[in-house]
Amino acid sequence: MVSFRIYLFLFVMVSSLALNQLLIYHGTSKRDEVISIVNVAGRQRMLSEGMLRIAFQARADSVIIPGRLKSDLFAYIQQFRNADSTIVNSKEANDDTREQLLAMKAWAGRLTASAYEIFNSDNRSELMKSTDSLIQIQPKFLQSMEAVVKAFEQSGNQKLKQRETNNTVASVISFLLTLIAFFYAVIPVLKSLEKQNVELITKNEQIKSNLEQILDLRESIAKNWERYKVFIEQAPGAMAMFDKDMRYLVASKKWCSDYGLTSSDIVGVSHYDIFPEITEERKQIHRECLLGAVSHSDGAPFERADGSIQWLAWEVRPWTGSDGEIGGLLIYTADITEFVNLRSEQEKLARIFAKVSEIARIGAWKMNLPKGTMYWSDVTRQILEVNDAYIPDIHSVINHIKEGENRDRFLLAMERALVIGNAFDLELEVVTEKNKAVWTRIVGEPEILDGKCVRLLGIIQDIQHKKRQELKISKLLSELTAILNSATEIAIMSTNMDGVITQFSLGAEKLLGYKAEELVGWKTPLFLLDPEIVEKRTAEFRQRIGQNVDGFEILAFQAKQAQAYTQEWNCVKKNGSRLSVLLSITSLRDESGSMTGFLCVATDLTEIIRLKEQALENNKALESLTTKLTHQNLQLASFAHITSHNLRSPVSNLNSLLSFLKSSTNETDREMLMQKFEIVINHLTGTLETLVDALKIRESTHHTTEPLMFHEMLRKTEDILVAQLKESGAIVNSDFTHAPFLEYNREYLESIFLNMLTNAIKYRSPARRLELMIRSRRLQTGKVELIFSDNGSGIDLNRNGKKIFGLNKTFHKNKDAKGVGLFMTKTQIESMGGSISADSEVDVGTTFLIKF
Amino acid sequence: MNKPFILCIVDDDDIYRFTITRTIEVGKLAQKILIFRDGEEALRFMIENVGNATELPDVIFLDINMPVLDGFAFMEEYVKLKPRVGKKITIYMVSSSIDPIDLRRAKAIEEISDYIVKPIRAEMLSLIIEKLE
Repeated sequence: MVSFRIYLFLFVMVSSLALNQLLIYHGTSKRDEVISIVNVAGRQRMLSEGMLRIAFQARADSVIIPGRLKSDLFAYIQQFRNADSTIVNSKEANDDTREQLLAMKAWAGRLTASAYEIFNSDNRSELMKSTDSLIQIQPKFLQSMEAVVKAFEQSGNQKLKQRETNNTVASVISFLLTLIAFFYAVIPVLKSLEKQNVELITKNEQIKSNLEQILDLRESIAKNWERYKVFIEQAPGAMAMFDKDMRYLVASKKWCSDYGLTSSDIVGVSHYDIFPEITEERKQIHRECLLGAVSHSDGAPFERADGSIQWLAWEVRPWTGSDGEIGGLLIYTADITEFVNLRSEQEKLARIFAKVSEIARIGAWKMNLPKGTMYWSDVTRQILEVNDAYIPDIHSVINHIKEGENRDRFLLAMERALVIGNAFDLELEVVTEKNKAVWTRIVGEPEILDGKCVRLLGIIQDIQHKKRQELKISKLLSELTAILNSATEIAIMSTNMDGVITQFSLGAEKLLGYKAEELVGWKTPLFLLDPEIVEKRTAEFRQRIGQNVDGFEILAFQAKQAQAYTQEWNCVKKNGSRLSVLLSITSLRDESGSMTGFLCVATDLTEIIRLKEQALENNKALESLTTKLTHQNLQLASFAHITSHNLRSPVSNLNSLLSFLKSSTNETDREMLMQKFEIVINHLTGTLETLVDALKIRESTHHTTEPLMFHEMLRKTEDILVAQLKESGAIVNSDFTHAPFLEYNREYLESIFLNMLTNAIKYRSPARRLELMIRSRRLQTGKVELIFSDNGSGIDLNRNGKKIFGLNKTFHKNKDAKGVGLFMTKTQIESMGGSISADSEVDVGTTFLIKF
Repeated sequence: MNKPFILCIVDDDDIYRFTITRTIEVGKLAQKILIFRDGEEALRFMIENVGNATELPDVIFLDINMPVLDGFAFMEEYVKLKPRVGKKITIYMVSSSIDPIDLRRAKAIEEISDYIVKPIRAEMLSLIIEKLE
């Protein structure tokens, strides 16, 4: 197959080469021909030129052509004729050149003819004539030759071009053919080469990978060896690898540390050299192992130097190399003292546990569901009072549980455990084999495998005693609660150490309006207290103890110190209203005396406060009554005093005068005495009248009042005193804007105004014009005040303070018929429940303040 | 009677002043009677004549209730003056007041020898003066 292709290719190549050569040759030969023709043509031209030359020479020379020239000419003509035929008969002559050839041939013929003529010319004229014609013909011949050459050249070129084209085409074609043939030939070769190449590559890859594998293997072998070494070195146990001569190959760190060796030191050293104390017995064992035996011990005791027991486990076995031969021994030793100790501990614990179960009366039970078998531990049997021979099953369990609520609960729990997988922990009453009812706690945990419950494990604990205690406590608790709740008017609550309410009695609910569940476990008693008071007390407290306490601590602090901390507080009830309580806080302690919480008792103080307030009110009323009475008493006393004093004086005077009158001898004297009598009697009468009036005022229980305008009063008074005002030139100013009117007795108010103005005028300062200012004002209490201030001569209050309001005994000093004096004014004011006071400075002025 | 006995009355009641003067004159109880209508006048006299034993009175009958300077006020001032007074003066407080407070107050003042309640009868007056002389 291959060969054929190659031959084909070769054939194609050769033939195309040959073809090309042929073509080239053809081309070249053709070209040569043209060139030869051109050459010939050129020679012809030269010849013709020669002929021409000769012709000219001949012409120039002589008559007839010289012999020399003739022979030349002849030669030229011969050559010319030969050549001419060559050209004419050229193979190259074709249609393109024929014309020119013919033309040239014609001219060539003529040229030869004329040349012959020249040759043959005998005389000059013939010579001249023939040379003339030659001279004429020769350029024409040249031209024609030129044309021929051109034509030949052209044709040649054309042909050449054609040939070239043909050549090119032929070349290309032959080249393509060769190429095709080449590929045709080569492709299978290439293919096979490629296949071979691929195969080679693959083989190469394989070889490479095999090589790599080999290398890897070598490496891994080396690594493994390293690893084994490391493995052994770092093995947690004491392990060593020996060769056949019991020399160390590698030892674990533990081995080294256990036996106090350094791994670098021992490699290659014999085990017996390092431990010369190894017994012959052991060496024998080693020898046996080297032959394939395995020596092994789970643990043997060795007595240590200090007397303690060390438990060791060991294994000695041979190891085989890659060649399958025993390479040495592997010795493994382990100090299992701790493990042994632990195990004994464990056994001890198990014994204790069993004991504990016995004492705590906790028994174990196990139920295997697929098989339906039941296991009861000893204590379980004891609790249920069955003997060892008794074989329990599921039914026996159920039957032992008390019928009714207990059994129902158990069955439900069992179902849940089996179906859903919920563990249960119930307190159930069981009936023992001996028909005793015992309270037990039964715990069961299901074991699920593949979604199904296969086992039920649990315990059963005798809680009879505990249950009994529980019942006792619960009974006590209910009693306590009953007591707590019987106190319906007192709020009792207990709190934990942080003050959070743990109990809230009915009484507390009733008193404060909150339900227990609203507060228990959530709020402290502070929540119930009025926050304002809390704030205030907190501040006081902080100051007092110098510490920054807050919250419930304020209440707790005191309770912790003292027996009980009792104080009045304001509570805020649920409905927002306030309640006054007496809050008492004590600490609760357990038997050991440590504090467990606080007890707060609050009693409603509303009633007490009300009573207190009432008592206060009564007290106040009493006091004011007392004050009034005292005042009245004083008034009476002063009244009595005044009375006695003011009456006694004139009376004693009268007595004296009387005795003088009795012993008087002459008439003028008696006249004078009589006058004196009159004076005194008038004085006495006036005093008596005043006193009676005063009494009348005091005694009158009903004073008629009406609304009176101050400015009207003033106007009236000014009218009455118009003369005095004018005479004194006094200025009266008033300002009643703040309190324009007063509900009062008209007479009294008129009297007050009159008295005030009269006094002001009477006691005015001689140094200045009297200015009197009258103001009224209303106090916050609603009471009205009237202020009379003047710039008069003033009163020395130190000396005469008491006297100004006293009954003036110097009535004989021109008693003002218009006024009754400050005594009456004071009486009037006081009888209406008011007061009058005076403030004054000598030579500055006086101010009277009247409180109605 | 060695030297002239000077009696002093301090009282604002002119009728009383009249009667007492007459009583003294009738009874010839004193050679000279000094009469003042209030404590101020009396005090002024005392100050003016503080060293003048011949002018100063031997006895003063002092009323309580008087304007300007009453009996007690006068006494306050007199107590300050007393060291300079060049004569022993017996002072009787006189009043128609039977108020125990006044009585106590008068008793509290050392310089007051006694408290007499008006009216003073002629017999008592002569007794007192006799005792003093």
